[in-house]
Amino acid sequence: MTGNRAVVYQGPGQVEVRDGDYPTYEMKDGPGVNKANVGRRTPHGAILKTVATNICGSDQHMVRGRTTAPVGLILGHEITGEVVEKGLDVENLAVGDLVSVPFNVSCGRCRSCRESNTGVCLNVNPERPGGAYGYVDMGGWPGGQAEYVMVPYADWTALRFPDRDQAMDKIRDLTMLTDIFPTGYHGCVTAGVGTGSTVYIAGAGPVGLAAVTASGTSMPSGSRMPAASAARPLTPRPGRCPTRSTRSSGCLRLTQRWTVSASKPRVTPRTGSRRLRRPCSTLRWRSPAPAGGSASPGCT
Amino acid sequence: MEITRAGGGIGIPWLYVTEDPAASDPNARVGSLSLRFGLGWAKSNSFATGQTPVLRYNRELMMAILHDRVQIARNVNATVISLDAAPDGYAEFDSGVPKKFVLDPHGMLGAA
Repeated sequence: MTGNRAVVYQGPGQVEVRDGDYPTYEMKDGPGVNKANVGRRTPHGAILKTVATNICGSDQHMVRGRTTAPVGLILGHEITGEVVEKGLDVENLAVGDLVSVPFNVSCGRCRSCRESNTGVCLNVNPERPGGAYGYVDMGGWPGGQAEYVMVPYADWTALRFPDRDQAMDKIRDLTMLTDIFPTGYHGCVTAGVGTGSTVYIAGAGPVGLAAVTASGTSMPSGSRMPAASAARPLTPRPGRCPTRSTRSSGCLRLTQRWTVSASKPRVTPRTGSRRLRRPCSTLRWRSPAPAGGSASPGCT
Repeated sequence: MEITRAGGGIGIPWLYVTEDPAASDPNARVGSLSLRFGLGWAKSNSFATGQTPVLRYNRELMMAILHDRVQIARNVNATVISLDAAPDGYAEFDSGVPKKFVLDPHGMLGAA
């Protein structure tokens, strides 16, 4: 049996790539594994060979020592991979399938999952609703910044790409489906972004930029999210707006704070703020048109 | 809340952990956030937060990608590195570089 090299948290500011055990269909005790999950069998799981797995700002949150994450935790919750083995209860996936794995571990069987609230699955984390791979207090499911990873409830949770070659052509985009793209999108949905909305996005890190992207995304299946007229990320570091398209959507530098006049719904940056580029014409940032919604994905 | 229009919504999908032991603010250490809830009432703002239920969106977003409707990798500056380079990726990400690091444990993305 092959081993499994994985990215492991080694204390604040430190991560290492270490050898570990190849995944099995049973939860083993280890750093960060909820004791009530130890010994849990997962015949509904599949073992994936990791094709792409992203570093997330929330991983960084742990690595910066901002959580109670234990040393030895295997990191990684943004997992795209190829099914190399499947448990006895997996019916709809085949070895060789390329799949995207939501960062939420979810069972598909509880009330939350039946209501499609997979972020608060009631069965995967004895501590509280909601589970995730490679994350503190999320049940202790081993992370996917590794060569191989076990994905429980695989029939329910894994999204199979329709065509392997097509998927590999677009794998850099598709790998964003595990977390940041849906997260940016969800921020827009929950903020009520719709046609013509003016959107303020707090933070121009990957999730903020995903929210910018999402706010202008119209879906092939029927325009569920018509393009907002303007979406503006605000960041202390406009240099993190990496592309011309996101910069020209108007990354602003946040140096102090934004204030709003109570008498006029007008947003005014205080001194020190400046525009990197002229904002898109549909946005009049100082216009009387007030913001329609805002999404606050933080600045990672 | 201050910049949202009356009746506007605020979506907070990012991570706010229940505890932040290293925070400088004692309230933040126990996951408590001070905000003007009364202002939210006055403006009838709506708020939503929590883990994103990815399954609700990922199939349609996948189709948007496969049909070339979005360039999410370009917009977040997806940058492929090896698994062994992960510690460097973390360090670089920590310094605030405008990159989204994608680990490639089996060297399958080079040609892709």
